[in-house]
Amino acid sequence: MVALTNVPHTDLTNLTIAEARTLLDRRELSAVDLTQAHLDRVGAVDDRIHAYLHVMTETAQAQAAEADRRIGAGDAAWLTGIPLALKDVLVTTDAPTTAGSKILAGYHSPFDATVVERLRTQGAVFVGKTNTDEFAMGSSTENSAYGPTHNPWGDLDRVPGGSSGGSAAAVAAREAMGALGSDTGGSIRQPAGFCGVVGMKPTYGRVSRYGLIAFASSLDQIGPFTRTVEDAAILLGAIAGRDPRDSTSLPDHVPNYRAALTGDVRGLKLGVPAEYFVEGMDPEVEAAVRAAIAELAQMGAEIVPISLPYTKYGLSTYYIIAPAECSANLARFDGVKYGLSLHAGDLRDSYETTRAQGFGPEVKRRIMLGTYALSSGYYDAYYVKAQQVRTLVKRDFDTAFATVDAIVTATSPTVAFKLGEKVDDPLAMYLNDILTIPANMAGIPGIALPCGYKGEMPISLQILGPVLGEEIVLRIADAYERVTPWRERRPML
Amino acid sequence: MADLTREEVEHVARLAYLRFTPEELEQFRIQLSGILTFISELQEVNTATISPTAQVIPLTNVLREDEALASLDRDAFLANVPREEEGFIEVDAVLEDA
Repeated sequence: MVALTNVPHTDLTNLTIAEARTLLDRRELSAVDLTQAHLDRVGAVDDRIHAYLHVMTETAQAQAAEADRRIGAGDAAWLTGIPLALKDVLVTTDAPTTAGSKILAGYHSPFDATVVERLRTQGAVFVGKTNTDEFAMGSSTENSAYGPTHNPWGDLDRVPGGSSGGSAAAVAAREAMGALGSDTGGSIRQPAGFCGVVGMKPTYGRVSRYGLIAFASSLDQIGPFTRTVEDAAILLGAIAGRDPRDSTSLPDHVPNYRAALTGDVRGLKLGVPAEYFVEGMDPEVEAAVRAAIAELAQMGAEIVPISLPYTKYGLSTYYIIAPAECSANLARFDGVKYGLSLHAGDLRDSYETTRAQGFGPEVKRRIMLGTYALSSGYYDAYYVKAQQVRTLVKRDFDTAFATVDAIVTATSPTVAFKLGEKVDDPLAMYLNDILTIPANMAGIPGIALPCGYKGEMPISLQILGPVLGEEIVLRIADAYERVTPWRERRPML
Repeated sequence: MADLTREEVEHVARLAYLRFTPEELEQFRIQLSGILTFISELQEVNTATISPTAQVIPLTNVLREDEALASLDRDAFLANVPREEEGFIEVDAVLEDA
């Protein structure tokens, strides 16, 4: 076991959101200083990490000054003056939005995503837009048209995970106190796991997707990255809730998530599905996850072996449904209304030239796969079949949650792999998401949080809950975090 | 189950408004065939009596009052348009000349 790094609390970039809130409200810290510390940190480390595609220095400083005025007037909200990062699939009026794609180079949205608007209303500070696999399609952030992000842990030669790898790396490297990402098949939880931070995918519909550049509309969900579970509860509370502009957003009351963090798991039934200890899982990852489960048992939870028999089909189901939806969603990128526009011959020539030049290989692969699955003669065999199996995957969870309060598994079968290691083998890359995809199929919430290290690389625990079970998931994660030392460690940069 | 032909890949590319060089086409043919072979494992699942799931939330027919609301700024939208003329988006001819 590597010794824990001694963390100097004088370093403003190491504060949690909750700690910073207290200091800001007591006027022991200004939002301007807190923001500048993060901008300086970005200046010092981001040439090595490349978490950001766009740093919003001037608007961040102005937002921080405004936050200080608001705090001075006694009008602070939870996130007033807190420096946050936004995955570059969330549209913003005061910074470009590229979705990691050349086809959106130079795009300036005329409106803010609902989540951005909600953070603005709270007076949050936006440090910048973070790197992502193109259109959120990938598991390593290597599919960004603007170059990969480097995992801040170890020798900087590993992927941060993906697709929200920039957000995960920014939070791990202390370049933001928290960040937003999007999770379609694990794109928040897997990078959170690889970068040793907390990442949460809420229930489908809990957070408005208005202004999230769509990948797979029945699976996409926005969620927080933070360094503690408490901070995740705070950030989720700020963005959750019904939005008239997203008809799939749920009308259910948003509870006080922070109040759910009781530190107590006694009597809770935690399911451990045999199918999630997959072939090829790193033995050290398995050992750390089993130790975490034992710890939760020690804390008074009841561990219940369960079976989710259709787990093995989750990946195949996903790689039909997600590409099918993406092929429809990405039809809008035609060079006519915005983005890259290459004029060549007739209309079809212009469309094809623009899309051939504007999209990268993985996006084209998924559009092709989806178009094939939806095409005449294959629709029933692929798309309808996948939707039927999706029903079975969802039913697995329904059955399990009739007897358990939450499910505990690994987030990924391995720790972060080396940059370039899987880039030429799409199927090997897809297998990364085998433990995270089923939650998207069923629409249920899940959180990833550190549960150990293999050498210097973080290992991550995933906790899944029933629909709208965010409180129980956060409660278990927080209780575990309180009694374990993992979050004290930080990458040496 | 699935070894795609070049013709099939070309057909799908045309449906998707994509264009590939011969080398890309062959690479995609091989990669897509591999992925399709993998996902054909779904055929072993008996789904004869199973309804498909298109989405997972219980909401249906979400409506709002039929009232006019403020729209976003037209100039801001047009600022992103590649080819614009007098407040309109310019597009190549869709129909052939008569």
